Amino acid sequence: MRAYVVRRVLLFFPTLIGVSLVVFIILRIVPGDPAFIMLAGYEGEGSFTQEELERVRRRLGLDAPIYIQYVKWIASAVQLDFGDSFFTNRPIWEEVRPRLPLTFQFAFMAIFLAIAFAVPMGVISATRQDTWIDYFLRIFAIIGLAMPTFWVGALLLLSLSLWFNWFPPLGYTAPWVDLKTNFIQLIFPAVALAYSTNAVAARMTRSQMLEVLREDYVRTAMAKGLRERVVVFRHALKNAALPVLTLFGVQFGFLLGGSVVIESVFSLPGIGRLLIFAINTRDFPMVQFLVMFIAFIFLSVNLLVDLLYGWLDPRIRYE
Amino acid sequence: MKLAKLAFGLSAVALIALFLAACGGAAAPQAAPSAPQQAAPAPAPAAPVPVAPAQQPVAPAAPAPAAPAQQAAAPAMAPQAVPTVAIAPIAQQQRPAPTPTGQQIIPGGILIPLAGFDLGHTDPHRNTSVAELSYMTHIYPGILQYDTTTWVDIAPDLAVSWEVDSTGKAYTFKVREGATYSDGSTVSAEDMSYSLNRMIERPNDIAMPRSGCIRGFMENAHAIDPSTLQVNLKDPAVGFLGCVASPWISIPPKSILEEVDSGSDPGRELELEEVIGAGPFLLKNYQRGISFEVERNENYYDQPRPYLDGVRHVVVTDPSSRVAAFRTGHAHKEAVFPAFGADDDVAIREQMGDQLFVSETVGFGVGGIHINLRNAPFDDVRVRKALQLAVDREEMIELIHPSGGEAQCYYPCIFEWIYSVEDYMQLPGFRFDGHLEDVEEAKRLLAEAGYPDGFDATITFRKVGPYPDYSAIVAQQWKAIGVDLTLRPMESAAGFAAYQQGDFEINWQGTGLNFLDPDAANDLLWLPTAGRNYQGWENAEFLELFDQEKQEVDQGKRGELLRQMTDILLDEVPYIPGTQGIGFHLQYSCVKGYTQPRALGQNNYRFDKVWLDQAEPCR
Repeated sequence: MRAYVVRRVLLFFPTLIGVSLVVFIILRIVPGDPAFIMLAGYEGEGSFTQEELERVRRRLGLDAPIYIQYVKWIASAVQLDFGDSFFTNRPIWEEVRPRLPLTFQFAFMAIFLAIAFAVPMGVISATRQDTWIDYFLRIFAIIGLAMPTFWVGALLLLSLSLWFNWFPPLGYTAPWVDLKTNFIQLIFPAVALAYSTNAVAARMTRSQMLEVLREDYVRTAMAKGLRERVVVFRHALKNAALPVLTLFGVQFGFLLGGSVVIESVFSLPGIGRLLIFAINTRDFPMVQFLVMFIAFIFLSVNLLVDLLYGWLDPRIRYE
Repeated sequence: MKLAKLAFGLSAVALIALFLAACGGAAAPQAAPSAPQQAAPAPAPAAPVPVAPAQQPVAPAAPAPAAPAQQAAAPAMAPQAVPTVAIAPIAQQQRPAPTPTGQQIIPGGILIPLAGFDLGHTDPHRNTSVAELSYMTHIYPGILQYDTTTWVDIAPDLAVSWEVDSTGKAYTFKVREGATYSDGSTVSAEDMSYSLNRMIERPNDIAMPRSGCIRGFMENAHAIDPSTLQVNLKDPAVGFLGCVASPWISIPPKSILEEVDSGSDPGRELELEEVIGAGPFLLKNYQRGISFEVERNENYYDQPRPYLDGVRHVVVTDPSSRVAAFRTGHAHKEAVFPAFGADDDVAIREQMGDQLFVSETVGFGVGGIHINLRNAPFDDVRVRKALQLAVDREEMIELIHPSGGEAQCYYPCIFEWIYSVEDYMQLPGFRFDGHLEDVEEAKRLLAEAGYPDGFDATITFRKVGPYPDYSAIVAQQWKAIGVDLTLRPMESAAGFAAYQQGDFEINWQGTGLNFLDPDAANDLLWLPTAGRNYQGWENAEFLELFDQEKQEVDQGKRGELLRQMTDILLDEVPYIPGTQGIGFHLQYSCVKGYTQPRALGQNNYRFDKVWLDQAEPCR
């Protein structure tokens, strides 16, 4: 077990280095010079001389060859120095830290909602295969798969304002300041974000359950006279849950990514909106950090899921 | 079976409970801020929606008496009666200004504008957009200001008077007595000179894109004594007062800026506690991406203003969410920088017209097609003229601007003392009637230039705002003369980079000008050194005229010189003016003392005259 964990943790690094290379190179390939934006403004309103442009590029370290820039950045990052934002001149971490609670709370709420509804939906669909409930839930899930997250969010907001003349309180209130307001502000974006994950997971649960329910041991359990609830939850669901758990591990990363769009729709000041702004202003250090941060969380969650396999399925050995 | 029912039931109950909990918790919109109810209730205006009368554009104040508009127009563009540009019927309905003379002003209350954009920097000199101005002008006054009623007249602010010496190069400003910053320190000429010189020196390479006119006009500034500021110009420049009255030329305390520029962390942003101003409001709270809140400055020099207890800007980034938030009463008004698109404007006015006060507005700037003169076939003036003639502005307005629109000019059309939009409407290419003749003339010019069958080209545009629509329409229109355009959309920053590097054939780009003077257009677009002279245009005759114009204090003569400069632009066509839509600024009728300027630009949105009348429809 320990050897497995160590091996997996070591595998982090090549993956992270790969991500860092991709984001670093892409940022420098796409047009848009941060020094130009700094001098001319976000909208390019100002004028400047070529000398000023060169001076700013030098100060930002953008005049060095790209591999030198990369090595310098990595060398600082391993010392947890992520640099300063090109746009605000503040340390990256100071800009990001206040936005983390929102994004994480939001992602956790979405994953909780997705699990809370997807598993029962999948179980019902499987146990009531080819009935109207099954059809209804499958259609509901397919709609969730088909509709983009931002569209669901926009529809939710429009429905609330047009039909109920109501709109969630603007802004973001931390849960430790006012739990109720916090819940009201985040529940609708979380629902919008959860819907597609819920749809994928419900369909996966259904197909896994259908497979397991046809296994001999389930038939044996039924024949022994066990109650349906015991057979489904204790014997069938636990065996069907393994692929579903993998799915949630992957989906958590997508939920963090999905927050980029949904935070804009619901005007939530999380890291998603920060990332969009940083891309628009060519704030290289900020984009690099945020992409690496999301990649790190993604990898961590997947590691955690892999470790949970052993608990769920004793047949899995890590050696 | 039972299990299925149980699970299904639990899911349904949980969903419903979540929904009810969320809706029920805050179903009622927040109560409007309390204010003494003294004024007699005024009848709510009936639909259709009232629209504020468009303010008559006037020339910026100049030391010499103003000449009548259109005096001595150049022969090329003799003004005549012209058909009105297509404007939606709603724009013709009139309504008194929101604070009728004699109406008792009710102090108090918190005004909530709905914004789409956040503040970029806490250092006011570093910001760039009108959206950011609408935050910072509450806090930071300037040396002079644009009057907040006419929006174009230059008025005293922290300086109460000014004079210029006989050379026209030395301005002396007398500092207002008793103006104090919120930390208790007195506003002095030292504070003013520090800010002005800072804009020239730009310490630590801090970008200050909107103060370019100071760098263009000014040699240096120094305090003669604490109450007297002297500014020396490079050359006499009549546009200087318009520049120094720009809200971008704001005056934070010298002590704060010195610490930022030369302290332990040079070039940093201001901490929130360092955002200290002498304006009508003081910073109360700022949550990045959420809200920007200011409270009344009890020591504001212009008492009893401001009338409001405070202003709380709320930031909603998604356009459809902004519409929903406004409809459901989460704000009193849209932010100064338009929060709603043209279609949303129309929909909201139809739905809520009887509750709203609406001001008509257009942009203060120039928008159209930059032509890269460095490459064939665009180096041939006949080709450029042909392209100009083949733009059908009437069709463009119909297709893009649901509330009406008008042609753009080489200098903002509000400067009618140069050429008005009606003057432009007489010209081939700009006129609505006679477009077919213009297209024929365009074909003839292309044939003469050696392109009888037209040519292929690429139009570059940023994928923001109306640029994709403009570009697609002009591509369609130019097919009539055989010019086949390939559309090249670019992400915003990438587009600007391409323009700056000359990596385009033609592009569509609008430019908001930095101060209310025609020289703002020269400074940004037409001079060889201008930041947005993407076309690479230079004309010796134009520059000679500019040297005379920028020093000419007699506005009549200055207008004549600017007309000659416009004629050169019309003749050379380094750029093709496009069209602009007429927008509508929406606010609940209870918001008094504010009418959006007709030409929305870099102006003084400090809200010191705004008040709330709860007797009127309110959020």
